[in-house]
Amino acid sequence: MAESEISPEEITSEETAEQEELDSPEVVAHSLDEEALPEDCGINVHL
Amino acid sequence: MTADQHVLNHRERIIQGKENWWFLGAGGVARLSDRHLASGGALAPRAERQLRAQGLYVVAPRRSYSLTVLTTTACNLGCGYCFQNVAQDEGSGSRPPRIAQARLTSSRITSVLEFARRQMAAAELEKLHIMLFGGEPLLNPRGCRELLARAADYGLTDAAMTSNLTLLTPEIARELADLGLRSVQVTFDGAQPDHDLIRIRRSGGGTYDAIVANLAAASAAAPEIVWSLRVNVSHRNVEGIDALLEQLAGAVDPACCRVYFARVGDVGIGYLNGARHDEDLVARFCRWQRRAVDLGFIATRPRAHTPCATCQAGVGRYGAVVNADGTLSSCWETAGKPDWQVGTVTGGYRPAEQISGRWIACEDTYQYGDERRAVVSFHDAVDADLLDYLHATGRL
Repeated sequence: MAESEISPEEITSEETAEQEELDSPEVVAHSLDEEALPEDCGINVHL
Repeated sequence: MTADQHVLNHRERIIQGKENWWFLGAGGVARLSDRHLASGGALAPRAERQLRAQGLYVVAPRRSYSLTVLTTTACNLGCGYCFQNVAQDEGSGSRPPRIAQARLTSSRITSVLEFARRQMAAAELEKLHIMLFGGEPLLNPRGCRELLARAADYGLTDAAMTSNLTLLTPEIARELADLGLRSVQVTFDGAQPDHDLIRIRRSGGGTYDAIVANLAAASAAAPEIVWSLRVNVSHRNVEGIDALLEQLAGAVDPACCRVYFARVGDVGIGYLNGARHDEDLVARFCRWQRRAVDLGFIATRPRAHTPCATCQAGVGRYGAVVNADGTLSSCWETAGKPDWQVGTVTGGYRPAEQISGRWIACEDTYQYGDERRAVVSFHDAVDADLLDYLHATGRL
């Protein structure tokens, strides 16, 4: 389909997706591989 | 905290930085602007959908069983705030009465590991993580070595240790690293003059020089170990923490050490701390943690409220705390305290109705003095500042 043949609905949809992308929170770090272990769960160990 | 809670529920946090908000979820960290929040500070529905789509709510599946073992309840130090003291020392100040003595033996190690095998099978876990704990675990070095060596047949993948380091030699560090030790937590009680008044030997005398020298030598002998340097903060040492950071950075390799700061709490034995969770302490914590990053210490990224695998996941499902005599407690805080036993490694956990009143979680017994809300606000402010700084310096 030529560019001029893109329907108004498709343009609106693309613009909405682009706007959503711009509005999306910026993920700065993933931590899926981390596991909470007893020594780093915030415990107040004084030994 | 209840004993029958089985799901490891992470709780997301939204905290306010200088220029943006931070979302901390089980799956990671995101920057938010005002438009991502609804009135009242909650996450706007669309922002939540976007964060979910990007995996920020995804909890990593539990893969290993976390076993904390007290190799001995004895300790060579006499710190006045220790949660294993049963009272203050009314005499010299360096010999507070402690929990009853017990020492891990070879036959007990068999019972402990067989208990772990049963628990791991029940939870369908094949990997084992062990925390060497005490007392001072290195008062029983043979117990530490034997436990880790024999745990290799039970799926041991790695081990950690909480130690005061006064007894650690490069040889022991190398041996334990070869057996799987990968992280060690040690506590400092301020710059040397303060530390040596607080973190004292039961026989008398300070420990700062010994700890730093042992840390430097052990980290050279076992470079695979990451050292977590906990800095206790109270009105007794707050003025010296800046100096402590400089002292430590000059004495050890910061690249193998994390530093974190914690206000000392009172576990009910009357240890007073005049440092309050106020704006002044927030400013100090922020300054210290930024300086630690600048000095090259490993930065620990703040995260969502993360449940402890040992005490916040139901009765022993993902971990356990075992005293040297084979008794079980729900949490490291109550280990070795007779009124808090919830079972034994040979008999297993007692029925839920018998232990529900004894099942406490990390820090449940601490009496902070401040309102809980002030404590939460304190940690949010400190964590937001660290995220701001890590982001601004390209370290996130």
